[in-house]
Amino acid sequence: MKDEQSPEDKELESILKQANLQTDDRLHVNEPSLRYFEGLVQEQNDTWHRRLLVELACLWGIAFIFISFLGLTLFYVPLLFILIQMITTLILIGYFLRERKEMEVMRQ
Amino acid sequence: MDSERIRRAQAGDQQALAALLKAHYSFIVKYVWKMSGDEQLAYDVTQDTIVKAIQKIQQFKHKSTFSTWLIQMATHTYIDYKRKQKRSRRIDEKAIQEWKNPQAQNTRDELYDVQEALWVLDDHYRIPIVLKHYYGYDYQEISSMTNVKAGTLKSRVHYGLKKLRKELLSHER
Repeated sequence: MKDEQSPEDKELESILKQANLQTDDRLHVNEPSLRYFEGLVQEQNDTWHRRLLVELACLWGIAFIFISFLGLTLFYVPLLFILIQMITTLILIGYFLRERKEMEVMRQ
Repeated sequence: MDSERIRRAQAGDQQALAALLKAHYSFIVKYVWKMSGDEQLAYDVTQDTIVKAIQKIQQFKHKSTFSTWLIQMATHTYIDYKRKQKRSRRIDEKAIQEWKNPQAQNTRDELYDVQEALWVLDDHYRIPIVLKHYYGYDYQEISSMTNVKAGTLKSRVHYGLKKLRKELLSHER
């Protein structure tokens, strides 16, 4: 791409600049009042606060669920462990009793 | 003046923010209008840009002017609008009719042709041409506004101007 501009390019650029100024003059914008902008800012702030509230509520909800789950886990996991130990012990006792019975039958 | 208002707006002064946005409202509408040739779209994009500016005012870092920041957001919003709605290029006929004021037609006909020819170009040619030749931004600034590499933009402006010249020649005939 060449950096030097041809006279046609320069002419077109100057026409574009003039067209821009002319366009600016010709476009009539219906500008709302300051009150409208103040309302819009207020509305956006309210929306932001509402969203913040919902997000915080969700965060607290999730935190509550996790803490509850952790609390339950802390209580029930040792209980589960003890239960498994007890079941294992009972099964072992049952096994020994059965074996002993069989041995006695064999001796007789 | 602007930077003081911006600081106040960033500190939570709602009236300063409202005044700041009001001061730049016409500027954004005119920018999008000139870029799209669609009056309604210009107002819609401006509305969205204003809302984004309210939401993101804290993110303005004073590295560029406030109007450049707004133009950047307006450009992205305009591109998003076009992408979402897949609008076919629609030139607002009413705007063109208003545009062609009979009193001024004899004196500045060529300038109206330029604006119309510009609206006929594709977005990826028109946006950098408008930013470069209407608003005087350099390629680096346009690159950061549009997320397109400066070299690509340079080439697009070059080919866009070529197409524009062709379009103008066809108008003359």
